[in-house]
Amino acid sequence: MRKYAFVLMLLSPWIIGFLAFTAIPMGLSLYWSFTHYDLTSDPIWIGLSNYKFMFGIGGHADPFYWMSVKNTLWIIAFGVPLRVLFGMATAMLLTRPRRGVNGYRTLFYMPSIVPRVGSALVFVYLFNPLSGPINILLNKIPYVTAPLWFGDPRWAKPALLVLGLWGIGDAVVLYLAGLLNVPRQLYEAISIEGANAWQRFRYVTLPMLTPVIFFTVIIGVIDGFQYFDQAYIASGSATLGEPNGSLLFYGIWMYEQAFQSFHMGYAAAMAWVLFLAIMACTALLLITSRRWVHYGGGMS
Amino acid sequence: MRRAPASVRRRQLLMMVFNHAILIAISIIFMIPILFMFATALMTDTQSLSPRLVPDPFVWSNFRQVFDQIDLVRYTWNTFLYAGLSTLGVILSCVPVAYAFSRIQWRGRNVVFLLVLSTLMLPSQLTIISMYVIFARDLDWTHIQWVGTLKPLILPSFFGDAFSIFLLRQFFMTIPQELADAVRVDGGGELQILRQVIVPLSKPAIAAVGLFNFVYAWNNFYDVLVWVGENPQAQTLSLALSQFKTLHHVEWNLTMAASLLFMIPVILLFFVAQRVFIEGITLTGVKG
Amino acid sequence: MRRWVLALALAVAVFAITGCGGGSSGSTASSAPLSTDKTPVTITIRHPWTGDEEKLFQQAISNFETKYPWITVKTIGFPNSDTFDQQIVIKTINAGDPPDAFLSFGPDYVGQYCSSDLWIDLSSYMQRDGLSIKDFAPAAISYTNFDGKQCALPSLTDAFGLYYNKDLFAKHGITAPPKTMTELMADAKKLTEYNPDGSIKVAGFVPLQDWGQLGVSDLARMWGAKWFDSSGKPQFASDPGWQAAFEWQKQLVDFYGYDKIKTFYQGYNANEFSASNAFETGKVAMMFDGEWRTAFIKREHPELNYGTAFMPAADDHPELYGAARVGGTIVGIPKGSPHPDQAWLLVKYLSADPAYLVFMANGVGNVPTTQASGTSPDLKLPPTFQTFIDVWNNPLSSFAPPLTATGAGYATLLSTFDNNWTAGQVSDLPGGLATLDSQVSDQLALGTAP
Repeated sequence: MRKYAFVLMLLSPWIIGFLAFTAIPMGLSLYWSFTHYDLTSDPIWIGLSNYKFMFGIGGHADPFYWMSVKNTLWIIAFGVPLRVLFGMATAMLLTRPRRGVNGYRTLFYMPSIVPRVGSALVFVYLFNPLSGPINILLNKIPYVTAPLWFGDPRWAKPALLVLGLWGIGDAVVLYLAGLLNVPRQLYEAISIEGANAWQRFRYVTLPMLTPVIFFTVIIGVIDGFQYFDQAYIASGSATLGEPNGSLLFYGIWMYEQAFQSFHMGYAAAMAWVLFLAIMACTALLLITSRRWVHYGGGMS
Repeated sequence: MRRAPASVRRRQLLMMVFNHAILIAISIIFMIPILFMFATALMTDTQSLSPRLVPDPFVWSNFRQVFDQIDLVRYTWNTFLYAGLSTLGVILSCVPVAYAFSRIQWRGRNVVFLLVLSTLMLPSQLTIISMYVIFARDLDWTHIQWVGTLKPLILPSFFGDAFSIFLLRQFFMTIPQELADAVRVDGGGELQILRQVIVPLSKPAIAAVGLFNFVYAWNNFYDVLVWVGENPQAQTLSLALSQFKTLHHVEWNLTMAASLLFMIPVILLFFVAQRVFIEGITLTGVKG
Repeated sequence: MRRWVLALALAVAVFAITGCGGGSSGSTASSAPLSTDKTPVTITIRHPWTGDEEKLFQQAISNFETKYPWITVKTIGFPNSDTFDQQIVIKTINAGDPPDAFLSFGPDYVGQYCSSDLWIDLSSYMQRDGLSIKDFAPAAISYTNFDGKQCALPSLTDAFGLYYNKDLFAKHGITAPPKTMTELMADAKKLTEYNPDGSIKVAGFVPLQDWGQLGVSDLARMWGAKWFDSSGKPQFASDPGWQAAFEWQKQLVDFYGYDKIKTFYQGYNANEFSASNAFETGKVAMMFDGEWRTAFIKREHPELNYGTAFMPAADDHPELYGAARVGGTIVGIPKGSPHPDQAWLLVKYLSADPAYLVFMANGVGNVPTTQASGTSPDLKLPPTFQTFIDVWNNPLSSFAPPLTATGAGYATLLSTFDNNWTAGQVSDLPGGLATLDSQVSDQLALGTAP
């Protein structure tokens, strides 16, 4: 019994924190999601109206909701695979030279800890259509009309992808560690059987990296659903989501509803839907992971 | 060691040059944004809107102008306060929790640990809405000014952080049981083990947790925007920087100078402690 | 029994002290005679002025302190962007730490402030001191009064008109600024010049949404278009003025070619508030802009040979020539203000004191808001400024977007639609406008309590 008292004591900070800053707020926000709550007067119970408004069931519909969902899915659908591909490719390049790996790794990793507000501002400058270095370069290429990037709804999200790739270093470090963990004997064994470079990658490297891929995909999806800082900075004007709603991500719209329009009830409902969506995606990834993620060293 | 034939050596040399060439090219691409930031921070405001990329003349006074135009000292102090206190809080609260999850056997440990991990999936935006209402309205009776201060940001860090608990637990697991047993033989209890064995041996992991939290708080934008967005007295650098551009429209030279001043501490910290960072991040992903 | 009574009394006392009782206490001015209490007191005001303008404001505040020696005013600035004002207002009130008075650049949310009693109704104060909203221009009511509550007052304002470059006019043989939208179109085409590579060198008039201060609603109002009908329903589809404005706009965009004019827009629009402003540097010949530009030009490009005129009106609405969008700085007292009576003295000073208005108008180049200050001989503003005083006083001028109880977020829907329209992504204009109508009423529905 004394042991449990001791464990409880050790855990107490987390238990208090979990109750006070997670469980109770979640319960309250669930309740508020069924109310009209503008923070200046008391919440009014309105049943499912917030959820109906969100999904446009009967009567009024949120004109921006689906736009924000689409933008968010877009950034996840392109951002996460790009991160995996580039992270893996860069890490594989890093395993090739015998010397200097640490130096390169440091350089690649550094941008990923640079404050996102700062890096977003730098990229807004780099992508500045008229005087930004990127377009100055692009315009020198004949027959190329440089896009307006953050000024054009079609190019704003791709520009954010480039910004995301710049901060890929943490994934590179993970992949590199994963690659260095692959036992050499596996390569030797498959080489004896006459495998070429592609086969070595396909049958040794890739399976051995699947735990890291899985980890980065999960983190990428969870982060992607909450995409905010970069879009907030890149929109840059008083209207969030500019240009023309193309950067109106779920997190941005929820922020607007909660802390600009002070529609607390509706924002709580949006947050719950987001939470359920993240749970569903994570569960889906976990379930499918059994089919493609290989844990442990064996190749059998 | 036997020397390889000349043709093989030549091929190896070529491969090496090729590999490094590609890596150097990628390094340059990674460094370009930083270089441009530096260059632009030293330009005149008219040049920063022109296609010329090398500062001419070098305007070092841009940095001083940033100090003149915003209260950088106050923002830096606020940022240090927030990052420092919350890091302290996380370390103090997470070490015992991680200890309970790694070094003591008790029934239900794995279930509770799974609960800790599952909170990592919670979008912070779900709780922040309620927290805002709670601090703004329901905690009114405390007569403590919450909203508009950094307190709601610092306070929760003293009550555990799932990611840090996870990272510390992973590390504590690797410490051999024999060391703890030695303390037990000498009649020491769990607290002695924690103090005399675990903490001294886990310095790298604790440092990693500390650094991650410090950098996280330093860079944090969303929560700061929500809690102190309206109070210039309590703003941190990330918030001040995000408003800098709005205030100074297209003075890209000043904006870049301010961004640099904001990033430099993080970059310096990184170079000083890069090993800790990289080992920390490896610990989270690979052994998970 | 006695203990119970005691507890109740205690509770009442606590509530009275902390003010967390009904929440509506202090939301209307007390009708007691104005406090003549001259005990020294410090009040705070939050304001978005920055830089040189802030210095002027501070000077004006010390004039106030000389006038009311027992009041010390503490000013707290905040970095502004118009929508940020509203967050600061609501957040400080919610945090239980509001200042005594607010000065804000964003009237868009006055509807919300009034309807939810975030700012107190100033009517009884005004009545007592003999101040009427009629002392200001007729347009003042359109952005300070909602639901019959006068919860804000104007303190200087902005008014909009057409700036034109006289040298470019002379170069292309145009002798007078356009008065009708047809003339504006023709002049815009005449004044446009191209670079050898086909890109725009000088644009006659950029008709895109958010080019500087222009919105499609500024064009539509010249056709007499209204946002809402008398029952508060949006009427973008049913008011023909909107369609006319959209078509006019598209015609001019197509003249340039969307890609060309959008590239031009991107290149220069970010420079609006810098010395490389497109109008100030001769890159556009005509521009819809606010009165403050006269001061900017004087400071940054005194050599610029320009004139100001009223925004041209639709050919069949000559009566609208001379009217435009107006509205700017507002002042008010938040719910929970610790010293509302003293704050009122400050609000009265900032809104109606001719000395203050003239001083600030001269200093920051904004339109003085009262009848008395607009005609004051002490005004030292360039002749080009008179246009804006006239626009402010025109009875058909008004603020836009119209106030609603839920703020002005709905206006984003109009700009988004217009951006799609000018980009050629809307094939069915009437259908698109009908969708816009329903989207706007959806958006408004969310904010309204059931």
